[in-house]
Amino acid sequence: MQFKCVFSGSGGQGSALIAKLVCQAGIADNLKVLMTQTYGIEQRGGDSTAFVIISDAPIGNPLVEGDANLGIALSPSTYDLCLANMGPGGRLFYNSSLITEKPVPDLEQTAVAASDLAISAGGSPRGLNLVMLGAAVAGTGFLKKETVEKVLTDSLGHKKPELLESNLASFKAGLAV
Amino acid sequence: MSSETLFLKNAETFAESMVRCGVRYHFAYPITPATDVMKHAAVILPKYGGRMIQMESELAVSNALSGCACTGKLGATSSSGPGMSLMQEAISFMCAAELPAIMFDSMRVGPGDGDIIGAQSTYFQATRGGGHGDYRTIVLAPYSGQSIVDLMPEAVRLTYQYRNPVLFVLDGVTSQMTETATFPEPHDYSADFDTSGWRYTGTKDHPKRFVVTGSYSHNQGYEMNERLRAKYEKIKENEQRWESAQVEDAELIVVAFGIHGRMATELVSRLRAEGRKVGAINPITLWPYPDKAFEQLPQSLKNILVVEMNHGQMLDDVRLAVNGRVPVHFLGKTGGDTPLCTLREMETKALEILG
Repeated sequence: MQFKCVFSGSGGQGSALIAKLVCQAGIADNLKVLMTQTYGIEQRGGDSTAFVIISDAPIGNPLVEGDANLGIALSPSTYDLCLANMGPGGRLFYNSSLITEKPVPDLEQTAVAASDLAISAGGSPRGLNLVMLGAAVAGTGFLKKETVEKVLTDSLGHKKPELLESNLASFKAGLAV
Repeated sequence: MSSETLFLKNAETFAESMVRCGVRYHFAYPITPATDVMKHAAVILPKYGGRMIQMESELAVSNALSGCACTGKLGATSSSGPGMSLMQEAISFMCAAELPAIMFDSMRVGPGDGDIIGAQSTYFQATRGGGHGDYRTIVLAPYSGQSIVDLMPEAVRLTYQYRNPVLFVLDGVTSQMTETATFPEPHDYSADFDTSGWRYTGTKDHPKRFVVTGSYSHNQGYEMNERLRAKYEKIKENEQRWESAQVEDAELIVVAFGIHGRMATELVSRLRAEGRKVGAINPITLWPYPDKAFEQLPQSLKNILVVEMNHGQMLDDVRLAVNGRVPVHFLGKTGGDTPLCTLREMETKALEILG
């Protein structure tokens, strides 16, 4: 089993955190994980993309080459990049609060009003990344939701415990999409 | 403490691994994509009684490293591209003075300042050396976080046993990748070696020593070079390392190191599943180059394909090792948003050669 993902958004929207949580959940379930992130002369508001490969065997090719099984697009400027990285039969979740869908053959796209749901569930649009992650977990089953909740609690709970409740609420709002 | 699995950037894995294997002093100057090594070293070294020291330039870094090595202590540095270029004089000095040190080049695009994105374009500099003289640096090429961890005890052994700097080269893409690596129990491998015969510790208990390279007569210069030549021959004979996959009946062998070596293994699995007779050789030591991997090429072999993140540097060493027995083809790229050949491009080229 090998599952390839692309998570992309504008700087600060949390695409890297999605990738990190997915990796930690994969490790918790004894899977091999590999994460690559774009780096460069980035600035606030610039695009940020993370690629994650989850596998039950050692990972040889570390590249996602237009063969992603799962994509999450958080902002309009990164939507096209996600589309370009999706493989046939892949599943793309996009933040419909900001993005207008472009139909693409052999690609299932799911609209998630993540910015709006994050405000109603957690009180802040900053939880939109966790709404998207929740929707992707519920929609594809690529990770166990209990494992993601646990790594979310473990990784964010001790650092910013006051934000844990709203983060979990955002994740659960995504699960319910 | 038993083994421990950590999820780290491979640059951080390098720092974690070197410290767990005995490095106590890390000298560095920030540069993308190598800064994560010094950042991680700064956090963990105090717990082991060591220090990360940020110098004012790479020139200062490399000379501080030389000074540290003169005391017999295990020091390290990390840099990239133009930073490594600035260190070449000191590396030539350390090779001549026969000083142990661990270095890490998170390779990026050149020439000049080039680009901060990963590359393998420092192969020539690493294996030939940018300093002057008949010197050699031992060069190790890991391809994943785990292979860094697995190579580190060997690196410490090599640098002390041969009293020669050891350079790790890893393309910036792989060094910025995050993956799991399992670390064995920490062990200071440098403590396994006796440095009392040569290190600088003052002259209270022994006469004055000269670790540095002064040729006070033409004959001394000659003798130094003959001594180094004999040592390099011994290293070439004993320390070649490589990994191979299904070369025994191959019609095509893909030769690649680092990230492309890792991808070549997957390419072999993919093409073998289609019945194509493909094998791979993944050099782990770039100097000494693993010529022995090419000594007994199979009778079935018709072609060799070299894949690199540059415009053909290791290619020269493969041609020397193959010595015209079969055609050697090349696929390479440097720079761009995806600064390496994709698996699909490697597969297309391999199928084109296979016919």
